Amino acid sequence: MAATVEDRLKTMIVERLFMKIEPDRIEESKSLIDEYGVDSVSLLELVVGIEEEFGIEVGDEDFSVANFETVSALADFVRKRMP
Amino acid sequence: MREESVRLGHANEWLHGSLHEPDEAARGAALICAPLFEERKSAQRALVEFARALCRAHWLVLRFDYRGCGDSAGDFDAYSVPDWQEDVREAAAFLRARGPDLPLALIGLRLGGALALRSAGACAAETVALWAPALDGRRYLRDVLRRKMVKEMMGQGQARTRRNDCFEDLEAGRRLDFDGYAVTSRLYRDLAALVPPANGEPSPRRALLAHVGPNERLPTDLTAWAAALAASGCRADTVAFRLPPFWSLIGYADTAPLAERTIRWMEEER
Repeated sequence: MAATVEDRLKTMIVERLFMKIEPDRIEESKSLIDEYGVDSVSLLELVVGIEEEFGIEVGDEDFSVANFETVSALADFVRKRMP
Repeated sequence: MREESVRLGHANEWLHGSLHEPDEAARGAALICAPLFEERKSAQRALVEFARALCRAHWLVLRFDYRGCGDSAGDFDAYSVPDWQEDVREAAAFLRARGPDLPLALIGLRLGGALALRSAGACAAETVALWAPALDGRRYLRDVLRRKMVKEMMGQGQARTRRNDCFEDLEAGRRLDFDGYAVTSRLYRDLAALVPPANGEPSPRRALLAHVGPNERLPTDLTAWAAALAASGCRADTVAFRLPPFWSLIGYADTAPLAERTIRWMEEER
């Protein structure tokens, strides 16, 4: 079964941010910033990771917390831009 | 092992350096080219530890600050890429005077990698080790602005900066604030003119291109740069390390594996 966008995001987040938890422990509706300690450096890593993992470009107008707040928000953002 | 603060260059525009001298006869001289902007501050400890590890391995090592940076003379906005390349040459000449017969290696991190690679010929450096090199100036500028945008997003919910507007301003001669550093139109143009190595360009005898990232997969741009160097007669090696971007972090990152691998590479076939 193909991995969902959410699963791929969680794996990418854990890998790129060197998090010491299993990807499936990340709750999709919880704030990445408040619950998982994502800071500005980590967010930049996530932006790069999203572009590499999904082959999309994060444009200047996309730099909004609403797009990066949770795994669910990120998944919506990615789906809208995936070819 | 001795460490000494040194002042090199001209009286009014001196460079501050830290010289690391081994107790026994040095096997080579190593010049460390630091990154610029905020990356310089975050990388400071890693580069100090690397210099000390090199010195323990019997290398004569010099770290230094470019003009307008750290403890060196001048204001940041008075200088640009050609000035900092001149600083690399100045620092290399200082090392040559301290160890006239020693082979010279340049090690550069991020933008320091571009300065090291571009200065290697003029410094007669045999080897160059590049850590996460920022060899594409335009991409580097976009990345630096992206960092500024992420900070705006974290603070205000939405980034206000638009990169193309910034570049238009810079091209029109205005200066911009990049994370607290004034970027002049001149610096912008000089950074934008930094391009990756091309086939047939003069290159050092040996180069190590080290990728630092969340996994040990080599990015395609790094392998392309290594291929271009190899096409110019350079023995170009690549290596990947699973390490966080320590030049961006506030906290500490253990860069010992990167340092140890680099030293082993520097000592191969010498």
